[in-house]
Amino acid sequence: MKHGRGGRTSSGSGTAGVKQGFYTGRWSYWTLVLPILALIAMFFYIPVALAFFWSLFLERPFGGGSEFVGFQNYDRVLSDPEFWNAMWRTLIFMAIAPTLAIGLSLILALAADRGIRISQAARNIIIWPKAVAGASIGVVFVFIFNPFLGIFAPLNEMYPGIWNPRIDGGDAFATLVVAQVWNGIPFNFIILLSGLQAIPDGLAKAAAMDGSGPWRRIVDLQLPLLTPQLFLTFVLEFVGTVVEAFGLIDTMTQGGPGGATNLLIYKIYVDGFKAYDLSGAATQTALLMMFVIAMVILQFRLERFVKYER
Amino acid sequence: MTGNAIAMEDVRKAYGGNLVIPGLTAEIGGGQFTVILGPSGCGKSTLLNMIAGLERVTSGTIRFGRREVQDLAPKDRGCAMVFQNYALYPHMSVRNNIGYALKVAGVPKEERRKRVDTAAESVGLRGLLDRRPSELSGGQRQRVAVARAIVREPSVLLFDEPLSNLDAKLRHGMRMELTRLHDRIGATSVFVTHDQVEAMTLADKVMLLNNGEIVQYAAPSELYENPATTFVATFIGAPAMNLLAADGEGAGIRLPDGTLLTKTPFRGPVTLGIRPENIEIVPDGIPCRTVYSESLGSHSVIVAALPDGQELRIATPLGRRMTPGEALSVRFMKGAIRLFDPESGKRH
Amino acid sequence: MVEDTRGIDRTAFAILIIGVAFILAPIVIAFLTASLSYEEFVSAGGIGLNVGSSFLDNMRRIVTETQLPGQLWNSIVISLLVAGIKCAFAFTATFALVFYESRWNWIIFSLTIATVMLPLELLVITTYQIVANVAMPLNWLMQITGLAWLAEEVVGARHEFRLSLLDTYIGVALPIATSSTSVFIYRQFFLSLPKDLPRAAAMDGASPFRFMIDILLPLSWTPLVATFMFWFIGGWTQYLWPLVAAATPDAQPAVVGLAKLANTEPDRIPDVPLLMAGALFVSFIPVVLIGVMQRQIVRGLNLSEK
Repeated sequence: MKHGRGGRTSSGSGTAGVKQGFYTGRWSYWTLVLPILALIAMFFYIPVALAFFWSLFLERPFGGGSEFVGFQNYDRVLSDPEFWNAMWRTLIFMAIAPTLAIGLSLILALAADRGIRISQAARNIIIWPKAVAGASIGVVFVFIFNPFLGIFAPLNEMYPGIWNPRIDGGDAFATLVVAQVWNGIPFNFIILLSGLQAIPDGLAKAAAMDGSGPWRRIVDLQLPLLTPQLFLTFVLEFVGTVVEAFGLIDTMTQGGPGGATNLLIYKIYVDGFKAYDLSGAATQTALLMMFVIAMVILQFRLERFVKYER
Repeated sequence: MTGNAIAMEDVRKAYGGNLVIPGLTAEIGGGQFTVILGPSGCGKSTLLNMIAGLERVTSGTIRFGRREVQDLAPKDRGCAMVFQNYALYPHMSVRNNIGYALKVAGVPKEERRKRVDTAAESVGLRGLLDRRPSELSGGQRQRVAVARAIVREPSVLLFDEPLSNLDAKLRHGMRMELTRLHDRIGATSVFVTHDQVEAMTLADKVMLLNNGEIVQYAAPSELYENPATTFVATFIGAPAMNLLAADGEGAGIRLPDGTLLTKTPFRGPVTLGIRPENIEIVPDGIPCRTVYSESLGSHSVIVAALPDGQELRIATPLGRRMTPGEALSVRFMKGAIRLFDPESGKRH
Repeated sequence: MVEDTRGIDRTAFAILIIGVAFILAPIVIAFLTASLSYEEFVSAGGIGLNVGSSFLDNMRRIVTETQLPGQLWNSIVISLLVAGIKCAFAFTATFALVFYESRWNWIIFSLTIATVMLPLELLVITTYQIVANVAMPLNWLMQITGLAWLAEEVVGARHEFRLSLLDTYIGVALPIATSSTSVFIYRQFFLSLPKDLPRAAAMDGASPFRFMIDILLPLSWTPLVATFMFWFIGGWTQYLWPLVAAATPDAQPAVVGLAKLANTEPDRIPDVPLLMAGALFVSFIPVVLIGVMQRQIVRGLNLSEK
């Protein structure tokens, strides 16, 4: 991702490079940008600010007024082991699901990039899950992994109790990961394949002249040149998995069994909309936001190590 | 019809604190073909954009005829422009590209049709009107851009390096056509380029710009014959004029090592300018040694080293080949020597 | 190139087959199961490779016995709103950011792009409160400026403005439409256009607005269509936000309706064939869309540039 500059800064000279910023009318400018500014102010920046604001108040449900409590909500949340458990599970999920989704997408993209006969059809099909909601595929996967009706039912008959995501937390977590990976492959696949196809043909030819075979070129040429796209997929996946798991959890496990799949995003929902603990939910939202922002900033700090000028 | 004269008075342009044009006063003759020439970054495009109304002047006035135009929008100035990369609208047919300005101006469909046909005809685009720009060759796109400019019958026609994307052969053809077009429609034409050949062949008058200031504003032959500064001398002509650091000792001018170059009377340090074609190879003149020579068919260019090491470019019509290291002696033609002040670069 | 690629091509072939199988497996299973009647399903004892004849029957039950058809319509409207708002707002704003000279460009660009960092799901708690009363900022403003006090003096009673957008199409769609990735995509595209286009248009007498409509809009067709499709699908697959913002089944989109359907029968063996038919029913529009339009979408998003 390039860090763009909107138009030209005041120091830019008249003849330098791509000079944009041609029109000057003030009224028309603000008319054009106002809709999006109003939209994001109302439904993005106010909610963000409100979450931080409320995290400092004790809000009574059903409009019973509120009371400033300073950092007491943070004290309460941070000393709650359930919060840390949910955070920890979120972290594990973030470590496993994106890695698998991106790794598999990478392998598939490298294969599809070979341009063999099946590539075209495979490319089309692999993108389909992008159009399937997590909640919809959750309904299907909960059936597929059903211990008595699903694909592991025969296994369970032979060795009773070997697979049961309704009782075994590890099994439940695994089903979530599989569903998340299924849902996450297409977008990563598209990005990585686009990246591979943008590598100039001449480079592969040059490498071939240098005696590098097709396998060797994957390691020596394609992977290094793909790092910007790999980086992008990791940034998007990390942020995505924090929240996308919700649809899967809600339809597959409801956070169970025994809280084994209760990730932070699900806990916030339950605390806020089921237990009406608005202050607690707002505080956890604020904490999760800070975590995500820190992650994104960290990732962009790392970005300059993966940029190539092409 | 003869186009309006363009009068610029103390025109300045600054971007932030960066003064690109520090106060320029000049008049461009009505109906003339004027070329604004200069290296990249000299402010020539900025100047053209200010004439067009695409950029605001920081201060100063611009007049078309008697009308002050510096605060008018482009469409109200009665000028049209041909852009460097043609800037054709890629999604419109050639007809709609040419007719867009008329459409915006609310010209009725029937009249629009006629005027587009006439404009297309005059640049030889008949039969291509329903194509998209992407289906045209570079030369044809160029013609569309020209037709788009002349369809509004502007009194001022502006060109922003329009030939720089064509190959050499096409460029030559287009130069000729532009000259003929200019003669036919008589609009005041202002043509910006960094290519001195275009300037020399197209212009009635050349305005040579450097760092936002006019260095010389004269007919092409005058620029060539009598460059006002060493900058003009090196910018115009290929191969460029030789400039030698020398000393005048009253009765003649010598190289620092004492070699006599010419008997032109002068006293004090001087930069001596001599065009390569004004150097003759003679049996006993200034001795030098061949460094390199290349044959260009009609003539050869020899690079030779003078006794003190300064290099001299010599154009000989003889098609004569010299081997590196070979000795020769030369003479500077009388009346072709130009003397410049070594400090300021200005002509003596 | 003269090169022995049989080994790698065979491996690639195998990988693609496995990948396609993994992607298709749940879809095929859903289809197979949806073709069974409930009795056939129970007697088969779960997942199997039998093809039944009750597919149309199950679909008929989805259409007549569940609320999914109405909710499918909700999904269509909400997704169209999301895609339309996102594309239109981002298009005009990006036009201004790229083609106008203003010192606000950089700030506005940053503000819009920052929305990508925090997904809506993260903000449901407070976004819900805002959508439940969109006049809330107005009330704050009146309190801060003292206007509320003034109004109290004049009218005699304290007045709080209330306007809830919960359970409305627009209320569900607007917060989803905040994520402004389109600005980034359009900006890349606009910057790739010849820089003299707006100048040529100005010479032809076109105002900025006219340039935007006559020239920029038709030129941007590819990225516009691609992003529209993409956000349509994105709106369709939203779950958490519609779940909280649309409490009544009449206002819920199909994905939420499906999840509710799946959660209703905890005791007996669930009517899995019906559920699978439902899952296919709520997914077919976006899947067909992506299957047919994928070339345009991938090209228009210009993903290789990032």
